[in-house]
Amino acid sequence: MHIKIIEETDIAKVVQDVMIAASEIGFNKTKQFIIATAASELARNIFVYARKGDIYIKDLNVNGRKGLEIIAEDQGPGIANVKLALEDNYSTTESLGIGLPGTKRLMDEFKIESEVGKGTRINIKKWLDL
Amino acid sequence: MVKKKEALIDVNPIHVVWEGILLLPVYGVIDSKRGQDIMESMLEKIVDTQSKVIILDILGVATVDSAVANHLIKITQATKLMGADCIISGISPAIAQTLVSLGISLGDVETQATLKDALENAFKMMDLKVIETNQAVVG
Ligand SMILES: Nc1ncnc2c1ncn2[C@@H]1O[C@H](COP(=O)(O)OP(=O)(O)O)[C@@H](O)[C@H]1O
Ligand SMILES: [Mg+2]
Repeated sequence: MHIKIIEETDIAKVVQDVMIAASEIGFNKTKQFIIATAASELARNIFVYARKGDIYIKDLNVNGRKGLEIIAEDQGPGIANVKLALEDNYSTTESLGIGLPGTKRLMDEFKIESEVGKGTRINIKKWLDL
Repeated sequence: MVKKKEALIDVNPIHVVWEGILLLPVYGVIDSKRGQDIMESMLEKIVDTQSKVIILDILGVATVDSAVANHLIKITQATKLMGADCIISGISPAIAQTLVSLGISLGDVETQATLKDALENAFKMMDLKVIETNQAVVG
């Protein structure tokens, strides 16, 4: 599934679609909420820092292992210091600065690639059996 | 047509559940506009009704990500400035676990799992006591 982030209401769309996808895979209510919150953080970062971008929601089925993968991709300004951005309470705006480190804690896998002037790509996964 | 639909969704009802106690159920998606709307209408209502305790019930919110949590924290801070106390209720196990993992500390914000607990707490804060009538007769 693919959702374009263009306006703020698209973040809500991401939350809703991720909830549905997670429940169809068999994640319980708490896990659905956790994955949707992580997706919300990434979608919001796209909207706030890159203005626009894309969210992809993918079912995972690796050797019978089920899970959900979310990819957040934008061609925005990129992150100059990824290490710093992953620290708690680091924000270049006046928000809480826990979106990225929090998302990392909420999910089982977290991968970030970012290049200044090119954009950012973040890949998160949650496994059903973990 | 679209405008009309948005206007309907944007309604944030605020209930006077008791003299001095307001209840604001927050549900669905809280974006920056909605957060601002909720804050404004609540502060106005506090003045209008001279309320002292505000219960913000978040059981029905779609997600509590860091931006939504930030809105909630700001709302409780604003109510404090107006001389009222704010209780956040409807913290489901899912919300609680997500907030902890995200790393959000609601700090000194008063929280309660259920609306019932929040109401009980609000009565206490207002020095009110709910008693069973037949017990009152015996006592
Ligand atoms: N998609 C993105 N594009 C550019 N910069 C980003 C992006 N996502 C995050 N950032 C940068 O990383 C910082 C930390 O992000 P985050 O942890 O979500 O905290 P917050 O959004 O509250 O600042 C942001 O302040 C911003 O500078
Ligand atoms: Mg963020």
